[in-house]
Amino acid sequence: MKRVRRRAGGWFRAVYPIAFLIAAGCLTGVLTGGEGDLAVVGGKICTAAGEPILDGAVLIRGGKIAAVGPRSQVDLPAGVRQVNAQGRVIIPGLVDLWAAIPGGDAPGGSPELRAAESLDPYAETWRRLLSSGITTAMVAPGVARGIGGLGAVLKLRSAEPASPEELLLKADAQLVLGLGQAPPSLGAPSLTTGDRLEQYYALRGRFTAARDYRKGWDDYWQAVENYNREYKEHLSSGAILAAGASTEENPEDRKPDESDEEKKEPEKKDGEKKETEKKDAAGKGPRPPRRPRVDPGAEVLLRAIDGKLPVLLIAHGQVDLRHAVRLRDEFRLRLAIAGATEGFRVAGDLAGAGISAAVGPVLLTGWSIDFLGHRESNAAELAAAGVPVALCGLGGSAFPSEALRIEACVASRGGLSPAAALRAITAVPAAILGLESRIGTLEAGKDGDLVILDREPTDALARVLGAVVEGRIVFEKERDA
Amino acid sequence: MRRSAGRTFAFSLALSAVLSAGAARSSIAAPAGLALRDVRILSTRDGQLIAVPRGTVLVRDGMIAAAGEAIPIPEDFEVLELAGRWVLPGFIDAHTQIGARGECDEVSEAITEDLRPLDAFDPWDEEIERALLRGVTAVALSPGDRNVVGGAVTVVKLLPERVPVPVASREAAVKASLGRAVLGSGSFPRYPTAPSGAVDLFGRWLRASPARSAGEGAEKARVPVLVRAETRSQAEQALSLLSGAGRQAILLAGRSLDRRALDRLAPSCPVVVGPYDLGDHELLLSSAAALETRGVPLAFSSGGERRDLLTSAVLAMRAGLSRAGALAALTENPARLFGLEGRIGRVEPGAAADLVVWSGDPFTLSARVELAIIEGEIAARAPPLPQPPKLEAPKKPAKPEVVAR
Repeated sequence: MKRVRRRAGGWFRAVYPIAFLIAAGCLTGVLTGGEGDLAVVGGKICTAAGEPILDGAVLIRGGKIAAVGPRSQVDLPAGVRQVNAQGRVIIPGLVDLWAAIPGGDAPGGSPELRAAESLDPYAETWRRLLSSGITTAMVAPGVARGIGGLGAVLKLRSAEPASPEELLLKADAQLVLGLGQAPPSLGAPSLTTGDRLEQYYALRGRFTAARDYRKGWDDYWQAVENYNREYKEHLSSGAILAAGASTEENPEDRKPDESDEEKKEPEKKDGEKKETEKKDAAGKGPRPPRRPRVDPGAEVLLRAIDGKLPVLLIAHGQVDLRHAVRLRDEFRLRLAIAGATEGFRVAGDLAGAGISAAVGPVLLTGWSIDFLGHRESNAAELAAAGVPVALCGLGGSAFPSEALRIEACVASRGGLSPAAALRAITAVPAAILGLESRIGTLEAGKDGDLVILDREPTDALARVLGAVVEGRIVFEKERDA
Repeated sequence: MRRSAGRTFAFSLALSAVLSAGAARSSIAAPAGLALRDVRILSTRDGQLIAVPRGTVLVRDGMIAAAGEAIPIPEDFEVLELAGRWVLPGFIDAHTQIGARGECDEVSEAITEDLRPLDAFDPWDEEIERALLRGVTAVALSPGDRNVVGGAVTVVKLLPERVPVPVASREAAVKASLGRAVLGSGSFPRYPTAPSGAVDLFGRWLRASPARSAGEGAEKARVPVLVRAETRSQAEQALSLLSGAGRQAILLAGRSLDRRALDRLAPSCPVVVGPYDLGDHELLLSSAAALETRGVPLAFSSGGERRDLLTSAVLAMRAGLSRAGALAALTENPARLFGLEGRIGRVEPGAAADLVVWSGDPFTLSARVELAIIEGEIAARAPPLPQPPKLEAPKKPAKPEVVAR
């Protein structure tokens, strides 16, 4: 940016086009409604935050919801583009906790792997997600050896994004982990049942190692302080001439999150110097402490331990679910569970621990030993016990994006109320992603993301007629169908 | 045990209905029949949807005695007040290995014409109740796909914990297959090992079967052949061999026979499709709709355990199959394919009372089966729904509150 300004020869030239755009924006705003201004009028509005509104209206201004209510109570400013949704059902944009995005679910295996970096902007996927009513989706690396990586949350602002960054809402939204066995298509680890305990301890071991890693660095910085003090004392005693060393020997005060290359070099130097120092006679001054290795994976796990990074853990079986609760208690993780096939067996434990469950699959199609206890009433039973219930597809090709709403239908067949089933694919997953203040319900102040259906959301035959993201129509079903 | 519980449930429902109505009826005498009152009936007849928004179904001696609007209920009938619930004919799975736990092919030989999966049927398999609670009351119990001629297909009703009796005295079809699964290999050295071998064997079997002769064999040869084909060429070979031998064919379409392949094949025989899964391609899911527009009789297969027949139908509906077409394919079409037209698969007088009571419209996939009735008896009923949490737990006050007045 700075460079551009210099070449332009002054700040005015840089600012001029921006000012022009703003002026043009205001002008079009007056005439036809600005970018991100839209009113959806008529139809039944299921806000996912309260009772449905019959013959309602949603007004979106500047990409945010300005008003929702019965049509008679929403003032529609002149010039705002209106969409007639008479006889339709309007719901919040769906939130897919684990979207099946080809290329996005490549196997992870290390906590620092970022799904955001594997996105393919040209994928057909975006339109497909939108045509299923999904406006926000998390893409996460597949789980390998208990660990997936960092999931990224995307807002489908366009079906044809110029770059994946355009869609990025939150880059490192969740750390994805997994326990148990599920088909590889579900992005879960594979193991034999006898390995469950081993798998839990392996995962736990990663967290304890991260704690040790932090202690290693704490000790190191303590040692650096001591060393600097001792070195100063050493200098003041006049030993510098004898030692012939320079101040370069001081380990510089670097933070562990600096780039790798810079870190490795001084470490080597330290090592070499220690070697030579050892060979020389003692008494040439204090030894510099040895810098620990930087472990980006441990850094990520520490962020999870500090509660700065929420964790989404795949666990299906009863044993694995209990292990998940143990992990959360031991490391004070902000944990939500994905899968939770046997959640009904431990519903009380999950509710007591305040853990949300993203149940999936509800409609059983694949087979895994972890699905033996599967039953359709699982989501309803968890909800009845007081667990916040979301539904998710668990990535993978077996669960395409269209499955999300069908899963909601089947969950309501299993006893989840239609309202709760809708919340399970909107408000609850939004809360799990920590985005409840922006998305998940149709309420004033939230993002203008909504979907227009031709039937009730818990009807498997309902079709998505249109999808709006931040006040812009990003998907429209062709007239012929 | 379970059935008696079911009966008790039905009885208590009926009793409460009777009491609430205030009628003084004797509950000691055995009821002469069962009445499902205040139900929404959905059925088909020759592919036409028959919908009664608010009606009654009368069941006597395991058969439907009457169904429709404004039907008077005889005095001595047990009454189920169903408050607007939906009643549909029980679905019929046109090809399944339920109750056999995946062990229904005798693969030591490629032709096992006399084998009956019925003989290996386990009535205690918990999949049976699961299928009932998905609305399926009858299945075409069929050998799998691993033999060129696998054996007899028998239609049985899913009465849990009871040894099944075939619906008809004769077998419903013979199962054959030209799919890849019939081929032997190095570790499984059995003829055929190549597709041409399978065709050869199938042709030889057809020539040997006494299609045009009289006697006991002729009866057997009139039975249709349910033939699995995975590709268009397999289907063409199977159908031409069958028509050459004068045998009736039912095509069991494999997953490679999608809409495009079926359009080119243009089958004139009935086709059994499915199971479909959530991730299946549009080209596969829309094949049912394409067959419907061609006027080809259609039925669905669950393909085995744990697959949901209704989900397949709904996925096909999302890809264009009509509601009437889907319901017919789940009920009267398979009945007709297996020579049971009018006996099962419809809600009409004279048909067996194989009825399923749904909480709402089944095709939304959000309705559940509340009762599955087979020949007037309750075969399965849904477990109670999980109760939603009470918003405010009643707190017990430490001391009784004294309210000043």
